[in-house]
Amino acid sequence: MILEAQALSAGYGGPPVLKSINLQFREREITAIIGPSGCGKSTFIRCLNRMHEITPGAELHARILLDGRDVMKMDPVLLRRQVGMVFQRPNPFPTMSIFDNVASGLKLNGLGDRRRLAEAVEKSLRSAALWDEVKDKLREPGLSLSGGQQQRLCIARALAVEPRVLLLDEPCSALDPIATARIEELLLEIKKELTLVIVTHNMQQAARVSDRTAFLLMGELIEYDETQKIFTKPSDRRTEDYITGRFG
Amino acid sequence: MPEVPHLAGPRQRTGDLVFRRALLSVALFVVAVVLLLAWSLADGSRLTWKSLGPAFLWSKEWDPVQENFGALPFIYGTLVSSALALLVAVPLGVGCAIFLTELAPRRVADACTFLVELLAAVPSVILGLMGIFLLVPTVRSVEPALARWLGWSPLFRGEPYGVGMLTAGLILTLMVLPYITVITREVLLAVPQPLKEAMLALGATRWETVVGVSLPFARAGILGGIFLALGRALGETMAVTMVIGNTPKISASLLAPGYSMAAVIANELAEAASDEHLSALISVGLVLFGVTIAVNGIARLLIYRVRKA
Amino acid sequence: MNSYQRRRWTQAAMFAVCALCAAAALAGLFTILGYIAWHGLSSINWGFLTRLPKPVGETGGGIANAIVGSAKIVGLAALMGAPIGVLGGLYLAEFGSNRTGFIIRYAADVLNGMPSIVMGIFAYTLLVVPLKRFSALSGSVALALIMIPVVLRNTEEFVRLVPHSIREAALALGVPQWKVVLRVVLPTAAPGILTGALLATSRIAGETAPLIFTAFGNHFWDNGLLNPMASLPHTIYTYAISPYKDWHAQAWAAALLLMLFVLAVNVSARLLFRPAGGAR
Repeated sequence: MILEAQALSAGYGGPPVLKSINLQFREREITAIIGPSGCGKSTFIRCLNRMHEITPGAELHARILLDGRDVMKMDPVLLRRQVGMVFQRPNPFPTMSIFDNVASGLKLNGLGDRRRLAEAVEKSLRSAALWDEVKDKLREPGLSLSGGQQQRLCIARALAVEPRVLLLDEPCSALDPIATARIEELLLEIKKELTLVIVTHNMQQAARVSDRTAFLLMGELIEYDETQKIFTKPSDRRTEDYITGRFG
Repeated sequence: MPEVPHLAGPRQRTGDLVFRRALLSVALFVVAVVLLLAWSLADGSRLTWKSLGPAFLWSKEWDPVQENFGALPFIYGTLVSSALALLVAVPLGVGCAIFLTELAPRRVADACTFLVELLAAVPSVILGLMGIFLLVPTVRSVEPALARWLGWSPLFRGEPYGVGMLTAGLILTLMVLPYITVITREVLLAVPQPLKEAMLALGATRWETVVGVSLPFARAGILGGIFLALGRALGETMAVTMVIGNTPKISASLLAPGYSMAAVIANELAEAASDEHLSALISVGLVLFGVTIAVNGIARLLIYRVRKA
Repeated sequence: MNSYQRRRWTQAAMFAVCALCAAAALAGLFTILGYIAWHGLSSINWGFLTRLPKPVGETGGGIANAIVGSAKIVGLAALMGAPIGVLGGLYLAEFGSNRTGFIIRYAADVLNGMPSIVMGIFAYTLLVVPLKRFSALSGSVALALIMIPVVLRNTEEFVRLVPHSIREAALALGVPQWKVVLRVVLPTAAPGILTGALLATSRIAGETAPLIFTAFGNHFWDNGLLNPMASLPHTIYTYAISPYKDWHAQAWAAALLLMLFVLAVNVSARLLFRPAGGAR
């Protein structure tokens, strides 16, 4: 168990969006979080790296443990170096080149050695399956890439700081099917090194990619089990209704 | 404008705290300047208020040699020249803005908007130069005709000096025209398309839509723009002092030379003969300060209400 | 003519009037530019740009000291005013949604609308009176105070335009907030901020009123920042109101120079940086 959320409740100042969720994530596994719109899945993973607090009025009551250490007592900046995040829409830094984008996490945290930076950038771009496409144009602006490439760039950027866990908030929802497939492929590769938590509204994606799946409904955790089991023989009626499309 | 996200956590890192405090102290400098400015104007004019009191504001005599100080000629000159400028600039500016939003094809409108904004960038002293060498002789040649045809009214009597209230008003028109045009254009562009379409769907012509829907909707914003332009005109110095005649006299006629608050300060401060003279000039500055804040405050209220909508 | 025709005729007439209004405005601009070019070009030559003014009444002087003086006064003012404006605007954009921010914003707006001559009085009482002399420094201070609120509000606007997603991406990498602001947000907003600072500089370069009784003007080379210094707009003014034809011609030439500078900055600012979504 590398990451664990206990009794996690969160909101934005009004009624709670998440109600006392208990979820554990195993090392080097991909856990998918599925559920209908508004069920709180994005809010949930933003709590895991304490990005939720940034929203004005945000409230969070939880015990979140990373390797057994209470995350709420940590410096959020240090936490985020260990728990990285990839967002729904690709967001490379507009003023930076491809190289600088990938290196940004390292550079901004003080690494100046050019050789080590270059090595780290190449390694991350290879892990993100982007190296071959951009190795000759590392100095070009990050925004000059296609949407799918930009998202892989953001994944490389997140990987460069060598986090233990990578959170992905619907990373393919803004991409076409081919780009989506490439990212799903590379997630399966990345999980050999890291733990991944992916929020998705695409059930087929969850079935394809994840080892375990958690189903959230209206802020509550309904079911959490091996992906195979969730999609073939779910225990809860509500899970079954969602998976078979009776509501969405 | 969207709220910028920042750490709301219970414990702020020291780096962030220092950063925020440092920026705050720089930003507070601006507040300090305003307070200091108000204080220094009040302090510098204390002599005048003590010896003359509020009567300073409505005394007509300004004679530094005799130590007679009255601000009325300047207040009068500033108000009249600004009012004249608005009288001409508002219809011109609104008409120009309607042209830019309704009539001109997109690229022409963009180019023309840029050119009108360029007009606002022309330094005041250059407009004054134009005033002296182009506008004044022109007005001087037109004035006899004005005096003959409109001389029945007290507004158009007097010798054709060329310099005077009329010329000052005209040059101020050139200065405030771009402000009125640009702001009116902005608020007209913000009129919701569905509203206009509803009017057109009833069979109205485009002009009738402008008058019936766009202008009423934009009314507050246009008024705000007018007050903003007024604030600009009230404080305008160089162009005015070069064409107004610099005579501290009040006259009903627009053809007569006059004076403005900003102009007398520009002309006499450097060589203020005595403490009383200096204090009187700073008092005029204080009046200008107060009037500007009031007018701009009204403008901001009007425009703020529009921006909220 | 029936009612419908009458309405269409009204529209045509009113739209024609509006077009005339626009033509009048543009005519005004082109008259100014044309006049300056016409009168100024004939007097500009190398000597004019490099010589000092001749004594009153003599022909053939130059405005070299005014050009250098303007460069110094405006340069110093920008050096003082731009950083304060940028940092203040940065504060308002990042932390300014509270009561303090409201007060600061209000103060900046007050200063923004203040006539430049009032700022000149301020610099006069602040620096000229205590030092008992006119000085270029007091002129620079007056100009800097005019520049600060302009740069401040412009900076705030452009920093606010930086998308949330960029900030979040940087924060998610484990970067402290102050670094996110300085090393990611600020560079992203930099083009807009710089353009605003340039435009503000061009604006103060044309200001005359505050300089009349602070920098005061000088017929010779200046003697340092603590002494009177000539400047381009002040020279234009002095020459324009003088009775000498030669000085009038020089005033036009100097005006041409100033106008070229203002035009160059304004045109390049608009062309090099097209503001996104109507921001000015």
